[in-house]
Amino acid sequence: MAKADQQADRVDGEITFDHVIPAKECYGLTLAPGQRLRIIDIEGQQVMDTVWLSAADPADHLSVMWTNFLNKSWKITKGHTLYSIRCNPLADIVEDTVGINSSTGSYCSEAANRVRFDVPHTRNCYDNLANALAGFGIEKRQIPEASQFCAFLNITYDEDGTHEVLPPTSKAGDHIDFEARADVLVGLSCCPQELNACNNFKAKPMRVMVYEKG
Amino acid sequence: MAKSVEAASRVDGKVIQEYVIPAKEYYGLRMARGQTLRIIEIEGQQVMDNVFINADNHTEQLSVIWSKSINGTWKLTKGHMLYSTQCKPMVEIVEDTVGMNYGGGSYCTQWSNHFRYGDPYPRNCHDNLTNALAQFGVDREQVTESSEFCNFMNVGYDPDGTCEIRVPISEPGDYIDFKAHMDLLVGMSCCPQEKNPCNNFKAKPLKFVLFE
Repeated sequence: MAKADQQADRVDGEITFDHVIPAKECYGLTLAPGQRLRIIDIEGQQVMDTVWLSAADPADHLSVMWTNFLNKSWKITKGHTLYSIRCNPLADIVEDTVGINSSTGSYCSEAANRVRFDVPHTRNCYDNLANALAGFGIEKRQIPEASQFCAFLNITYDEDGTHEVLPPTSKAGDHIDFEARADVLVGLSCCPQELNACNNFKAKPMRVMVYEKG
Repeated sequence: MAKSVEAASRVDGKVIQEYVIPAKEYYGLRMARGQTLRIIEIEGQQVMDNVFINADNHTEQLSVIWSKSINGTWKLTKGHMLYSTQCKPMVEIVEDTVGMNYGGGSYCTQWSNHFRYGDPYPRNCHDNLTNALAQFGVDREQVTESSEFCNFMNVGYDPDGTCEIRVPISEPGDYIDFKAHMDLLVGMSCCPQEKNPCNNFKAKPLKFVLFE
């Protein structure tokens, strides 16, 4: 294990859950207010798609658009809050050793991979996120594109209008920590995309921890 | 030719419908493949929120996110195709005399106005768009945030990360044309927002012309 990864598994508090999501796979979990979720990039240059929904009322899901507007930033990172479609706080980002994430919304899907790369039958984040949350009774239609925040995804908004996916800058051991502000359901997809620069053309595993601040 | 509402109303084709949507109001229509919808600025600096839905399958909607990604730009304007959640060509921007639109998604809502301005009962685009499409049997939950494209809205994505709403640069007689690539339901909201620079603090009417 890289030295950096050993740093990343030291948290300020008690770890209640610790799991490695294999490359291309998914996971779903709940967080209570105050609980923290850490996502660790194990090898580097791997993206995690996350969907956030209020556990009490899943129709009140994350809105990346309102998250951008209410934080007055499209570079959502440490110090910012994820807001729901009803403008309720869902989680704060309390640590982020990379500082590059995408709050543009959406996830790779079978349709998108077919149109963009002419490749059918691909593993994709949309299916992964739906599967991650199916155990909580969530249906696919309840996770619209706006409900997805992408940790470490590097998408440009250049002045000349260029909007493209670049390789992530995250290195082994980099991590991002969320502290729940409400009871939330979280869907996680270790992005399986290998057809563009999103994960630098190779899908890799990621580690997730849940802890309560000491 | 000088820009004017009159000049903008002269289209190259047969007019099917033209109408002035009053300030803060809305309109819903069905648009056949091949038809073009022109949105015209009457007084200038007024934003129109548009939702596009596949008329034959309401679960297939505009995706502003895939539209940006597939076009490789966040400055969607003339020459760009707007794609659906299934990544199918939905509607094409065939003219745009302003060149400034917002493809980030979402609309002002009761919740956002309450949160931002403490206003509990504001007119808002979410209600307007839902009401515009209700006659076609479209449910409120099908009017998702990413199904909305905002004509003439000026949102900065600055290199330092700033994301903010600025005053529109559109003038009277400016217009944008959308050509349908499938049979569509279109929800239009003449944005009622007066609490921020979105419409330069005053809601105003807009005109549309549907033609082929």
